[in-house]
Amino acid sequence: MVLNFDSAHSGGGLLASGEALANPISQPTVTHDLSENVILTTVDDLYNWCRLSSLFPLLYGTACCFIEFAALIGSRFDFDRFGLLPRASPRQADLLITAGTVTMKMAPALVRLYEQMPDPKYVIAMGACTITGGMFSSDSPSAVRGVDKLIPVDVYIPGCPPRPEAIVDAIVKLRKKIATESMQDRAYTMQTHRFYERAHGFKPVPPILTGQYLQTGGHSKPPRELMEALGVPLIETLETAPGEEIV
Amino acid sequence: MLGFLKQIGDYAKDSFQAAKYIGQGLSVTFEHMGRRPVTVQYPYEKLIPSERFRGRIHFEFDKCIACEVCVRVCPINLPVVDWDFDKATKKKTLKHYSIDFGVCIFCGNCVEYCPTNCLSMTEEYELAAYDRHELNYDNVALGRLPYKVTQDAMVTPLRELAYLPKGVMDPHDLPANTRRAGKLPQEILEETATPGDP
Repeated sequence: MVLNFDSAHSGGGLLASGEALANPISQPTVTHDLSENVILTTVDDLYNWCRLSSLFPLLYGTACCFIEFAALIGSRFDFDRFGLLPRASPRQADLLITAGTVTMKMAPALVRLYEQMPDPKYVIAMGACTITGGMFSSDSPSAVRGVDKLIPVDVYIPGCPPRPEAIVDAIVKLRKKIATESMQDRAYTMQTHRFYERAHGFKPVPPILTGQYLQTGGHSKPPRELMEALGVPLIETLETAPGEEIV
Repeated sequence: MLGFLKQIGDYAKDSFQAAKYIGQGLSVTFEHMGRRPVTVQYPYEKLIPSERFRGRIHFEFDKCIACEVCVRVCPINLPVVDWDFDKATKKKTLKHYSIDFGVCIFCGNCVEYCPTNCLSMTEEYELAAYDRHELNYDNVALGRLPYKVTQDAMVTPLRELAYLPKGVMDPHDLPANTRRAGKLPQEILEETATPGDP
């Protein structure tokens, strides 16, 4: 006999009021809550602690913000205190601090760097240029208006450029964000296909700056009228051929 | 025989010199071991921003006359001034004012040109946010004053390099009343002032 779940819980029917069903059909909520809250969160904490205390940033810098970011590497604002070890390869890094303006030309390279980083990875947008385009946001033909149009950003640091302490502050905030993550949510945050890409429709053409234009006759010899006006004797090659008409 | 003695003498001299140079190098190393690290332990120790530091902009709503000079002098026309024209008093009443610090480059033009001094620079620089839209500060957020580093009980304030005495590079353990290197601006003013001046 299969008990109806609703009727068993509504109290009507077979069970007396106050009596609980020994082995209900529905999901065992108590054990599930226990495993979620007691055991798994501690594993989460350990896992998160391991991750947040060894964030390896990629040495990425395209403009003046990197000067402030490079100050962090020195001993005065030592960021090795936070376990940040600068890596020169995206495959070893898990934190991308976009220090500096990102242009349209740099954008594919930035996306590629981000894609090459192993999961889980984090991005800090540093400076006004990478948050919104900053002072290039109004009239620049080439600046990307914020790197969050290209890659997902976790923390934004305003400033032009921000102080080194502001970057440390952002790293502390990023560590707080990592500490609240759960392994059960990894399926939602796992990267699938986030970027809009398509093959570019450019048509390759032969180069137009071949230097041949400078070797044409008009550029190797001064104009005839100018030479005559100056009273300089004409070069032999400029002398008109017998049948040619002077324009 | 003499050549052999010379070899021994050269060898002894060389080994003595090697020991001397190793000792010199290690003395530098051990001298550094007695020093205190120059690192600013940031969340616990903070540098006092210099007096002309351009941090987050502070805005006083009641002083603003909605003249929009800040928008005109801004390189990117950033401040958003929302006002109504009051026909009865023939004056503009300010409704909202906001600056997006995700775009602001902290150049300070608006502060410099504000005719009523309702804009000013603060020392706040810890503005990092998880969402880009949180950086768009409205007039309430702009009106908040930041905590001063020197008044924060959790933080040890440290002087910046330009505010240390001459020859000192380490801001730690400095007595409170040590003078910075060079003359103070008011001292220069006193020296250059002529007696007749008020």
